[in-house]
Amino acid sequence: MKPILECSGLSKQYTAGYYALKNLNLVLERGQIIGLLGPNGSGKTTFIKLINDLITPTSGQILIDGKLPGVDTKAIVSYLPERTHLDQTMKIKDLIKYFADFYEDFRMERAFTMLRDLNIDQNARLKNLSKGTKEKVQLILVMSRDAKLYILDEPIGGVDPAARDYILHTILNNYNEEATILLSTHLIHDIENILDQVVFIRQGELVLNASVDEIRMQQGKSVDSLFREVFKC
Amino acid sequence: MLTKLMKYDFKALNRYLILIHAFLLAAAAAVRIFLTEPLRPGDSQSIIVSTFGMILFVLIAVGISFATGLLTAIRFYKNLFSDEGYLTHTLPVTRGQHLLSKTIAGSTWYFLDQILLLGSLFLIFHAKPLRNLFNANKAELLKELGFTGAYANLALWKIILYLLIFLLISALSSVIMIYASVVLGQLFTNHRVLGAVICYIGLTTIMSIVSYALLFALGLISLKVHDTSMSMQYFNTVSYMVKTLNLSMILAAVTSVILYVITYQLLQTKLNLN
Repeated sequence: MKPILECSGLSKQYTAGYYALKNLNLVLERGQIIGLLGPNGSGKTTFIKLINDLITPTSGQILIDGKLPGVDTKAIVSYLPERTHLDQTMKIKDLIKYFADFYEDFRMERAFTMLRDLNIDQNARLKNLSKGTKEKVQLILVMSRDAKLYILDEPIGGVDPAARDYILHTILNNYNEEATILLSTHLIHDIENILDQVVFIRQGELVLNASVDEIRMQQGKSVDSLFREVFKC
Repeated sequence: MLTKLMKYDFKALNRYLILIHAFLLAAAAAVRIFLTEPLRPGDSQSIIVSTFGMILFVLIAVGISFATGLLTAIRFYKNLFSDEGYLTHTLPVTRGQHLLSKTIAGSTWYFLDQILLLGSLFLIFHAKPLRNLFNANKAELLKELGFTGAYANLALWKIILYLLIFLLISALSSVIMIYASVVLGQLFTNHRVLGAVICYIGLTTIMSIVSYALLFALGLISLKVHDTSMSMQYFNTVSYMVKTLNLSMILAAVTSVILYVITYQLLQTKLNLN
């Protein structure tokens, strides 16, 4: 079976001389929760945007499920960006219909159940909700898909610790075992326990690609302390 | 997928455009009821009041046409290139389908805007006093306008059909030019909206210069005021209008095809969301 994601020689140059991502070679296997870790500006979001076909690579290529980013890969990738990507004038129930219209793997009932659990009114317009609630709605929409690859960019960045727990709980409860989750964050401590694999990137270059068990067993460190060591200022 | 995209593109545009066009029709109805219907052709005060009313209506109509273009541009930009673009571009849909859906929705509204504008002018001028005035001078007026010779007894449906084709091509070309400007503006990495505005001004200026040059080359305009071919004795408004409209239709169709292809190619190869 092909890996869910493989990239070779992947580079993205925004301005002359500045590479946001430089010659990245990486293979991600199925059925894992992978932490994409690095300090601010390390190229995490650039990598994620390349996977989602939102920017064009300067060189190199990405294959998702063996295919170049396009219609087929978008049908199997569920993406949570680090910003509000929904039309804020829409009602939540209309957003659910929108997702159901375009994504065949979207499970409406799951979305409505999660909304009920969180006491979020499906008739509310997104623009009238608090920042935290908006993030929860986005996460509910993204996790209500039966995708093969979930890409979550800073899913816990802007919410309080209680909501953070709920979000992690939601992620764990809603993905199927064969799917892969690529999760970017710099709040490592909060997510360390759910990760199988970590990828460290710095200034657009791969620093480490190892399993969490390897780090713990061979180096005798937690991911958090290894991160602090590697990225020490 | 195209049908689904169109459903949402129309929904987004309908939201504001139905409202402002309802206002246009209401304004036209008000002008008809309060100004043109009670108009007394011999009374100078009545004529002055109606003229001011008409100027106001023209301002409203121009504003609404401008708003239609602006709202279409905003929808295109917001849905494809703002934060919303993060969802739009991750839908399992091709970029070509996005462009086609937005071109159909935008130009349908642009077309409707022009039809409703003509409709509201008809509503205003179909008032009884103006109808009587027209009927009393019909023969002379039609002759002056050039509805003579080959254009005499021209069937109304032919005129309407010609106008509809013209408006359709003009709607398509206007919307394609707006979209091309927005996409070209994306190449100005740090000033994307400003870039789009500059591109729009640039494109419309180039179009004006080209069409002026063509009109000149084909002898439809002349630098000499008393050019024999243009002298009033031989000048036929209808014939002149038909030639000019034909030319601008051909020009609009050609530039639309070119700009559509450029826009599509840029979307395919140069998409870089902030």
